[in-house]
Amino acid sequence: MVTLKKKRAGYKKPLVAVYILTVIFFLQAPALSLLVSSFSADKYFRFPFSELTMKWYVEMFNSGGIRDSVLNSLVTALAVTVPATVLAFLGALAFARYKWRGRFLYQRFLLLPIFFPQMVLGLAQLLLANFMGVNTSWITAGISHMVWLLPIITMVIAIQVYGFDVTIEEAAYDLGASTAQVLREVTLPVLMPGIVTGALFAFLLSWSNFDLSLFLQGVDNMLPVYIYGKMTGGFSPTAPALSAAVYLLSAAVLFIPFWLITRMENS
Amino acid sequence: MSDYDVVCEDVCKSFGDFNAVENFNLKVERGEYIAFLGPSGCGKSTTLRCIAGHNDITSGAVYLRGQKVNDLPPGKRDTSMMFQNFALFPHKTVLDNIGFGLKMRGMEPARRVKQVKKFLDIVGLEGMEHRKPGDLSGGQQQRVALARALITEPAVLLLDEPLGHLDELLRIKLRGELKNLQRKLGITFIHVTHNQDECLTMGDRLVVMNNGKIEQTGAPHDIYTRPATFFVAAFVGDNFILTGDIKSAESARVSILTDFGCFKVDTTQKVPVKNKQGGFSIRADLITLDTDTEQKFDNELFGVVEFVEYVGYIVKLRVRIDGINNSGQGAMVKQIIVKQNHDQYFKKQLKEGDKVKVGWAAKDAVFLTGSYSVKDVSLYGS
Amino acid sequence: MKPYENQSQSIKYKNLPKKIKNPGLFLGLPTILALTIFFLLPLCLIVLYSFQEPNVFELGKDLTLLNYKDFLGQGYYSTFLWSALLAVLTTAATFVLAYPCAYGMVKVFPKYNMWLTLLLVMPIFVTSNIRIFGWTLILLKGGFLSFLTGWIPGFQEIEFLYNFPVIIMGMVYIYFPFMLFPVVLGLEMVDDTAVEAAVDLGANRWQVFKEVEVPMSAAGILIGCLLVFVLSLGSMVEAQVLGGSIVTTFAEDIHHAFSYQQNWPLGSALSVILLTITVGLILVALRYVNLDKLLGARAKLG
Repeated sequence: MVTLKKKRAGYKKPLVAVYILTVIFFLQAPALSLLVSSFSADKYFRFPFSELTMKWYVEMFNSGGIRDSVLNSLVTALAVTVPATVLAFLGALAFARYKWRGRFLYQRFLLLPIFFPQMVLGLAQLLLANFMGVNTSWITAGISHMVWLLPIITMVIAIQVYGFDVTIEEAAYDLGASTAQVLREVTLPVLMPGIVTGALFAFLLSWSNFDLSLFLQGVDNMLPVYIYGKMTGGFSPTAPALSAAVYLLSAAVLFIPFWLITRMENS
Repeated sequence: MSDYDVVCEDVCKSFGDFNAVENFNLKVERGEYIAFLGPSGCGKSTTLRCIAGHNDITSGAVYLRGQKVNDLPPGKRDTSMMFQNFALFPHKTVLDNIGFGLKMRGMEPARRVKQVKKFLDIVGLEGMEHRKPGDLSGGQQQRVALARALITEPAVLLLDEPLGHLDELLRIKLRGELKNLQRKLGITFIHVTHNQDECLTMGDRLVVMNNGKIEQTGAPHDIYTRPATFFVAAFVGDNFILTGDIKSAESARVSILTDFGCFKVDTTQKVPVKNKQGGFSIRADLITLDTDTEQKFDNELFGVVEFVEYVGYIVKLRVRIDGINNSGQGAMVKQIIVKQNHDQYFKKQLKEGDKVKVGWAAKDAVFLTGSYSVKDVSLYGS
Repeated sequence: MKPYENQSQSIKYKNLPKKIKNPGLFLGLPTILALTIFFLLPLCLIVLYSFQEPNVFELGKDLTLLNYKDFLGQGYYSTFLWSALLAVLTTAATFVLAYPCAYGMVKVFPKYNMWLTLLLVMPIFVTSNIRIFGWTLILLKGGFLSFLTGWIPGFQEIEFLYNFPVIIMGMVYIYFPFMLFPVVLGLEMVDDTAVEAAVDLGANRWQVFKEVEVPMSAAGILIGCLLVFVLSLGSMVEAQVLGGSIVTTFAEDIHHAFSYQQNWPLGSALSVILLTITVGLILVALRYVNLDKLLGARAKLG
């Protein structure tokens, strides 16, 4: 049995590795192209470049329009993260841990927004805002983001909750802990990885959201919408620089926490 | 009431329509080691959790040291539970795990650390304070769980299959350690298990349960030698059990007509009127097998050796006997397990195919009445 | 696959703390409320608008089916069919691409699971139009790819954009993570010992795949395909940017109706049609999936 497994895996492993690496390269290819293009001094895009420069990055930092949209996106994302994570945490417990009458419907109802075409959702929410006489602004965009990413974050945390051993809570009660103490000492610490991951995802998904922001941002331009404008209104040389910068930043925000956690666990 | 550490009065627990525990009555004295024994699903863990407070009782009452505790949450009862999967806090160190109960009572950290170190010594885990449960072996985790439960100095320690997750050798070793610990500390232990050997070696008293009810309560020796019901006879030890019609009952000797013949049992019980149903059970080690058919016994059968199992210190022989059911139709076959120790076996060295006489004394058999479940007996006994 | 009844039987529950009678409902209520107000309500509005007279902006009492008639009469159904075709092709291509990847992550290199997941899933945290933009720079005439192919004689100045296959490529690129993640969960549901038993009984690689791996990971495959299909059905950006005007997607029509045509009721009706098909598919598919077992696969449940 052992030799059979080795034989099967023998030629397979490098093949699979190559395949996965190819897929990773395919997925990151646009990032590379953006990065490379951002150094081209040409006003129009042509490869190979005539000369290389950093001036688009400088222009990017000086641009007021960019600064405003970055701020808008940042504020919205931060404002969305906290309520989304809290609601998602509670919702994940309802999803994965307790047996209750409406659970079946709840699970399906919760999943629905994930499958929705964002554009239609955004339009529908715009109609609602209009109907209620509310002006669109970063607040409406934020609410829209929250409703859309709530199901995703709930599921991320729910996956953790499924693996949560409830008997450790019983043990805590047995040893005299109150409900608040059990939450503080046992439940939250053990589920913290899932909660932190959820919060991180919430931030990133709100920050990078385009389809919903497009309809609900009002005058508060969000960064993705700003970039879209730059992209479609003819080639703008700052566009690659800006895009590359955003790409790298998002990657950093995603990878650094995980890298830190891995370092902490290994020490 | 207050002489007893634990009193269960007609405790019943149902989950919806399902009665998990029915009319559980027990009085436990201070410092006793009680073992609950029974097959999976018999209600032993449920009862334990009722005593602990993790399950609410449907009816009846539980008293701890004289105080009725039905509505008291587990944290406020003077009991501590050791869980089957240990339920250690994976994110806390051994120190924080064990000291948890003290932290909940508001003890300052410095004193807590001293207490924890004391209990680490007691369970034999000195120096392990800063490890995490994930780094410990099964046996070590069990000791941490034990220390954590004992540090709050409860009146009663409740153990839910504590040795179930450990391998054989470790289990046997820890049995002795648990028993010693209990004697040293002098507190009451209630230990739930489905493993007979554990019960018999560790308990001062056993409670045998089946289908939510108590079958028999008593000292290990009593339960082993004098089972009170068919279930106990089948579940505890290796017993040969037969049922039939009671033919006669004179001067403490009962005659029972079974499909395999008529057998005599000595009993001090009051025997029901003739032609009622009854039965008997005889221990596998009290049955004699011989190819020499000269020997006379109170009860005799003829059979053929089917299988010889050499267990080491004993030899188990499976003997096939034939009978005819009472109405005269249909052959019946049964297998008896007979236990012989080394010397007994090697005197004659019976082998497969040998025709043997199976015999035992009427005084060694135990008379049984009551409900007889074919399923239970065939599952656990012979 | 059989429809799944009693889906909550596979998990043991403990209801703590005891003070709250129905903790599940209590904890789920905030989410339910939020979704009802900001998700369900807007959708109801869209339905209402879809029955309004064309080109109005306020809800009136008169209801009409005119907008739905336009779906058939004005040729919107053809864009819908095109979008459906794109969606089917995207789903199939994404599955073929993602399954071996997921297999490698779960069965061959489980040690690197976290990092591989991050690398492969990371793109969804970057705005899709940025990523598509990156592709245009590669595929443009005068872009990176045409530079590389320029070395091959006769292949100079090729425009890789504005054709059908490149749209599919773009969509596969965007929706890849959405197929990957559910399939990974599905594969984690496959019991390795069952695979070993099959091999032991003489099954070859293809048979093991067909008889053991696919049935056991079916839930994940189903969810992945459903997700990608539904999302790509409602997609717009990839076809617009990479394909130019060769294909108009249904989502583009919807957007058009709202923005340029200022015809909210028409846009709403088209949206309702899209949503009906989408929700219908979702509800049917979810009947066959044991969500607890799939999402709890990492925790080795069920």
